[in-house]
Amino acid sequence: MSERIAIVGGVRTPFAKAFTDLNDLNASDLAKLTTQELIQRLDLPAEVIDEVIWGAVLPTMSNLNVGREVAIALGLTHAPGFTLARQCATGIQSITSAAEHIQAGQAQAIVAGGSESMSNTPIIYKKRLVMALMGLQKARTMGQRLRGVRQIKLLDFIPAPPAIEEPSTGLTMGQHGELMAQINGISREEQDQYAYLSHTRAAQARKEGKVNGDIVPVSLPPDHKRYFSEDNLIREDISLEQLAALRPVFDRRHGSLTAGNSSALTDGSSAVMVMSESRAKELGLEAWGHIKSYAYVAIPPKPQLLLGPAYAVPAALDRAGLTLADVDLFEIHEAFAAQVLSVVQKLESDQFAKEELGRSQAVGKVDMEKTNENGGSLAYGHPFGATGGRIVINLLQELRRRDKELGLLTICTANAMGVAMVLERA
Amino acid sequence: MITYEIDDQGIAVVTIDNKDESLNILSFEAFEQFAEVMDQLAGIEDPRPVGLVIISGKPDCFIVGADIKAFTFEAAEQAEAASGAGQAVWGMIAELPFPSVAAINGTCMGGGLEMALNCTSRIITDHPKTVLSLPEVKLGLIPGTGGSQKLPRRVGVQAALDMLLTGKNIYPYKARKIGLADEIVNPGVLLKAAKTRVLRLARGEARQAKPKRSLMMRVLDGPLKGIVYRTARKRVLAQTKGNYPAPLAILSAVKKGLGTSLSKGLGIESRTWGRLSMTDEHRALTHVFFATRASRQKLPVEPQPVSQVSILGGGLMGAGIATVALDRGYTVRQKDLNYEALVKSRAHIQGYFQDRVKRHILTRRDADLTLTHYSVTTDYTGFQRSQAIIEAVFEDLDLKQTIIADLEQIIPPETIIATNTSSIPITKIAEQAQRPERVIGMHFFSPVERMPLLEITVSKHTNDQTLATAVNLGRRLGKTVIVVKDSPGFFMNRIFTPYCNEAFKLLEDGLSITELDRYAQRMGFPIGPCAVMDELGLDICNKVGEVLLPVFGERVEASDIIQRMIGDNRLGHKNERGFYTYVKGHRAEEDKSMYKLLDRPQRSAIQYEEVRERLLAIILNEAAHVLEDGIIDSPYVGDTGAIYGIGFPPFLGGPFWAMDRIGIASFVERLARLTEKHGQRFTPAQDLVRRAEAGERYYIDAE
Repeated sequence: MSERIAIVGGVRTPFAKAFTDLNDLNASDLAKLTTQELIQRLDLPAEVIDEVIWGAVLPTMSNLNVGREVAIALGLTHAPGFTLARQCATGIQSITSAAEHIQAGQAQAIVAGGSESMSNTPIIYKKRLVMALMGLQKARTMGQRLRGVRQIKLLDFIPAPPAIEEPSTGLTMGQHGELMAQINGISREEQDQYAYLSHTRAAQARKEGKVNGDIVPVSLPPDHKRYFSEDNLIREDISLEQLAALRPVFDRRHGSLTAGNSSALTDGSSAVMVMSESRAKELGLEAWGHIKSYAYVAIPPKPQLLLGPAYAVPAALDRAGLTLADVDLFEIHEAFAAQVLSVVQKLESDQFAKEELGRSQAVGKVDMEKTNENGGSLAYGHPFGATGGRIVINLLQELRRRDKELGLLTICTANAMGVAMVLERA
Repeated sequence: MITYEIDDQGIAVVTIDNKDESLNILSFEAFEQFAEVMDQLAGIEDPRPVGLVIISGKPDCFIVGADIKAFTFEAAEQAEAASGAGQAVWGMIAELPFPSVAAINGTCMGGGLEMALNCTSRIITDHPKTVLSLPEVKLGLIPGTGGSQKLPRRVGVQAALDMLLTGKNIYPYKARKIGLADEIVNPGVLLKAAKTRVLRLARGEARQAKPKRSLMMRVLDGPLKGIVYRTARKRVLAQTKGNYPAPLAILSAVKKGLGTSLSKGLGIESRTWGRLSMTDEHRALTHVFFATRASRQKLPVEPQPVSQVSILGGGLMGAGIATVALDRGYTVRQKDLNYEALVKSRAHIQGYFQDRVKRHILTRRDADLTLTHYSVTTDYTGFQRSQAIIEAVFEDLDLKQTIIADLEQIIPPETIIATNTSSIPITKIAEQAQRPERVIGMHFFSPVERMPLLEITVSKHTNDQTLATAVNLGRRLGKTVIVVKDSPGFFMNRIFTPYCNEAFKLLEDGLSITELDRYAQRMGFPIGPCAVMDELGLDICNKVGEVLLPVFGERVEASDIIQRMIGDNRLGHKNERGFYTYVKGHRAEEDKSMYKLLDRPQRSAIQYEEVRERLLAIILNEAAHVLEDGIIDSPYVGDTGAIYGIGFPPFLGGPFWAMDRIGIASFVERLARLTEKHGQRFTPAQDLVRRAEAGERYYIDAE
């Protein structure tokens, strides 16, 4: 790496279960308010910002390029912007793309963010209805209109279901999770235990005030008579009994994945400010941390679609010249408890290391005491574009609180990919 | 100024462009030139022009109206004749043997709109500055060049009276809706659109569009016209209390004019115009218009550019300032202790913009975009990137000083700190500041969105750069800015507090709350003193009173009613206990238990004339004191401030104008009489006595 890449600050909205508090804000709305807050908190003059890179998996139909829309809305008219997606790694992709832009000499300071509004998933109608409606628009006479209307059948109004399905396998993410639980022998109890841990840790972190400082409360449309200021998926009063009582959702008869041990459909947004180390110093900004290395990997979609992190973690560590044992804090994105536990199992497995990674021994022991210490996506929720930012913010802030140096994060994604990133505080 | 050319399609394009000014203002010469151009156009044969387009050469102004100074007359007959001549000039457009289109971009007021009403059609743009109005009533006049007759014939009685009686701005969407304009286009295609339309009119393809009016409107303008007039009359009387002759005269001119031919109607208009232009009210209102200009502070240096305004305090005042700043394109960061305190402000802002959208003044898109520039905080983040900080917290000296100390730790040296105090001297607030030169007072009035005045106060340390930046910011926020010297209460509260005190005295003398407020409104105040104090909050009023006490000393004979009220936990509207009772958050009726608090349960009548005399005299006399003390540097500032700030009756022209009208000597005599009867608080200011002896008026040399 030519020049070190600094992350000088970050902020996120509270995360909300889809169709709850953030229902009336689309991904672009969330993006604007998050970026405004980021710039304000860092007290940055508008002209400092060179680029806005925004991550969003689901498109906002009013403007497909959220990145540039944010720049224009906030008066950063000089800053180009683009929008990208890499499934659940979208948030991290914004940050690494920003880093690459800076290292390529294209920019010095970049807003790297991501947002997702599952509450505003675009509804896709059947082609026949679309064609009929387009025809109606062109119709000039009453006769043409009537003919057009007659073509439409009532059933056409039922939209195609927006299931989160893996196109390469035809299975949903949940079904893939089930598959991983089966293959790796992760029991329902282990999964529930893990989900319990995630929620209680998140609740504890919030109680200790570790989370609020990085959240921008959001005033809610239409009247804006309330500020929504806390993640609403965290269950403070969760119990193992409650978790055990939930019915499996993806395989109703034989499955082990429930709404309790799977991440929920979530709305939310996050953004971090990425700068070259020299620009950050010039502006007198103290970096939260620097990017030491990262790695994206891809694996065959079958049978273990979400096992990417087991490959990405050693790759990123190798690039940084580090081992898992060197890492002070570790964050694994929690799509499903079964997926997290599968990844941990593989990282600790000598056999996996030999067969899959060509290494003589396991990547390393995963110490749960320093892993997802403030809970993870099971508790916070998982707005695809925003999770990466949330994890980076939490990791860097926790390193600061503990006065530690090295952090590692990893995220599994649909389409059978994975990313891992090593961050260092100094 | 007025030029024309015939394009290759045979369309005559008349361009109005007053080269010496930034705005198109109609002078006598302009009318003459216009008549000349019309004469020439009418005389062109072989080929005869196919149509006429009238357009402005200014980027955002069509015509702002006639030059008020030029249209001042000695006698009613003279004025009437001038009106007739003006009507005739505009009438030449209608008499041309070809159709005409007014292509309107930017402000189109008064005479400009009256001219446009003579065209076959009007096209307007969606430029944010495009507004149409006939504001003559605000100067105590009727439109004098045909507007009062041609407007109702164009848009119907209901819509015309709405414009004529209020003088309000009509925005493009509404203008088209009522039929005042036929088309709304983008400024870039205005000329092209106007030409297309005039060609179509010439070819007979388009007729002068009949406005599409709702059934309701048609019924109101037809069979129910009588009701419309009666309701309008009632409303006028309720609002003016008979203090303003113009609205009633307009009403009668419209009614009579519509009952007869256009030419007779125009005659009625001219006679009305002649009569009104001789009234005291017109003179006073014209004076106010010029006083507003004369009180404009010259900027001593170039102001610093401001892009972000940070506001401390999420109360009503902070919310109002934030709203106005957002509306004027600033990025706004607002701070308070917690989000509960900030959410009211957020909702307030939302309400304002929702209303703008509902009234089609803003599109939803633009409103949403504006609001992305708003953010809130509970710490000082974002303050470093703002160039102006306005503090609108509770009136507490310690708190304000602490805030300045906190701010000085973080903000760059050139950022100005404005404190929104209504009474605490700026010098005191800035006492411990490291850089007192950048501290200034910006006293806004609530509700900020509607109150037009901003009182800027400079301490002896405030530097020119700070003053220029604050004044410029105030103007960009759409306010009439007056600059006054630092002193407890500044100007506004210096005159407002004795007025309130006199209200207390009247209550002590037995006048009832209801009657007192009703009388004040009859005098021409928009709201009575008791209701106003309830709105402001009695605790706030009391604080102001305390700050002012050292200045007033024994002179004002301060009443103790306000302390009693606070002792009785009466804070006004905010805790729904004050002079009035409150039902569901709304003012209901006078609170009879107040009279027990006054130790005088029974009420006795006081004549309106006495109430008026006392309330007026106390304000006028205090205004004389303030000028004498050098807190304001001219009577213009005082008149402007009193009218826009405390709602002093505009038809009286402001305290100084009013004293001139009464005559200084007879006013001093009046004060002497009042002193004898009611106490030393009416002792005339020294300067008044001197002026009375010297025979000096406030404005005699100025005008």
